Amino acid sequence: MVTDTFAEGIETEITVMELNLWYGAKQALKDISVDIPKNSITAFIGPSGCGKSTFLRCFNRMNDLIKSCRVEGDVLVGEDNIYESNVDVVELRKRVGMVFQKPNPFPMSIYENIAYGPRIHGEKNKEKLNSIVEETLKAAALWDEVSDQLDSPALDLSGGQQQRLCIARTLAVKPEIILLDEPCSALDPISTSKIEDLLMELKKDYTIVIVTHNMQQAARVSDYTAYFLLGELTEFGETRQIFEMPREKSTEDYITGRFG
Amino acid sequence: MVRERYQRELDSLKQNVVTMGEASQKVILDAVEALRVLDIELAKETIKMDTVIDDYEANIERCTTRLLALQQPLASDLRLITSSFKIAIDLERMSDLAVNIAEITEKIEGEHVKPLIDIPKMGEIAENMVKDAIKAFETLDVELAKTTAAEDDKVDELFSMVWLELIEMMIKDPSIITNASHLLFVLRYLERIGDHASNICESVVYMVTAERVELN
Repeated sequence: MVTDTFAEGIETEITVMELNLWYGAKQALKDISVDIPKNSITAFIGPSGCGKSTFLRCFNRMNDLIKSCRVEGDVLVGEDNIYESNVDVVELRKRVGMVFQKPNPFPMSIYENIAYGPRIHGEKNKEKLNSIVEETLKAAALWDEVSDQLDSPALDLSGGQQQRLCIARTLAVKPEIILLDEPCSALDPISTSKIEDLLMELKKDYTIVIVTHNMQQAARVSDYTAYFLLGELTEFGETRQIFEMPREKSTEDYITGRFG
Repeated sequence: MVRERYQRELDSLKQNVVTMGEASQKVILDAVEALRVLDIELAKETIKMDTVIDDYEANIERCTTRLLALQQPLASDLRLITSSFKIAIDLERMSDLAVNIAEITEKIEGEHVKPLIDIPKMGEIAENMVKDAIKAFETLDVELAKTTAAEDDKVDELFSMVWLELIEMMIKDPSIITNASHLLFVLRYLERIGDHASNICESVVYMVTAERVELN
């Protein structure tokens, strides 16, 4: 694999060392080692089935939910190896939040969607919950649109608003990392643009990793890009470099639309 | 083959730049030849080429805008498109300068103040620079782009030399000032044509390597 070393002063948030993953007998990820930089947006790109979503799900052990899945290697979030046996996976998923392709708000009010997470993590104080709801909806650039209808069903919101609500819901439990798996592929261009602007704001406080099939989205929002092919991470570097002059021919062929 | 139409449009853009390059090269060649032998007819023909070159440039501008807007190109495709756009501007500017030389041919009264040897030589170097720059563009040849840009030093040397020569002649014989001044402008135009050819070489280096270089 071809990688860049980070510029001086850039901290690493996630360290992956020689990660291999199998679904049954089929190996889906091969020998992946990479450092994901802190307070930045890293995009994962590559053709369907290349392993990018599988790799993303390694960061909060979502793959544990798949019975046939087996993982070898190490993933460090900060200093902690998240694949050690004593790791509290619920706590891990609080630190490493996730947003999916299709907005999936709970069938509850807007308010309850946000308050749910902090509440199950022990927050009972009503005033505290109110302020979490307001703060996170503001951080997700949704407050101005929904502040007068917090008790309305979340499912009445538009798709784009629902997705921002899901991001807000993730923020409510104060994660360190936000993983997004094709968060805009079901959204119209205006909603997509709002999510992209939001991500650019959020990276000041969070580390963001996004899987996307939209090459221009990767080019627009991310600081770093990783290109996956057939379960391997074949190129990783600054986004500007990857999209202007990729080092690997397969990366060039993919981003110019000649392959994949 | 994936994105067949897109690939065809990229190929066609590249071909348009090459065609415009060849046309610009001919304009320079004809302009300098018309001046050398004071061929008014050839000068008029050269001036007419101005609109043809403008049409080439407009067409390349349309192609690049269309590709950028509709195909969202990246990597080597994007570098080809942005370089083509810049090269077309340089070619149009150098053709304008050649047309200016043709216009001067119409203004020269009587004979030249001296036999033209170095000015046609400058023209030949400049014209070859355009030819090689376009060849480097067509074949993605960085080395050829760099050696071609280096030729500009010869154009600059001749510019300074002939410039001084003409000034000295004018001091000695003020009656030649009108015709000699026209030639000073010709020198300036040829020197600028060399600079534009160097710019094209820089665009070629960027297109192939993604590195922005200063070659003159």
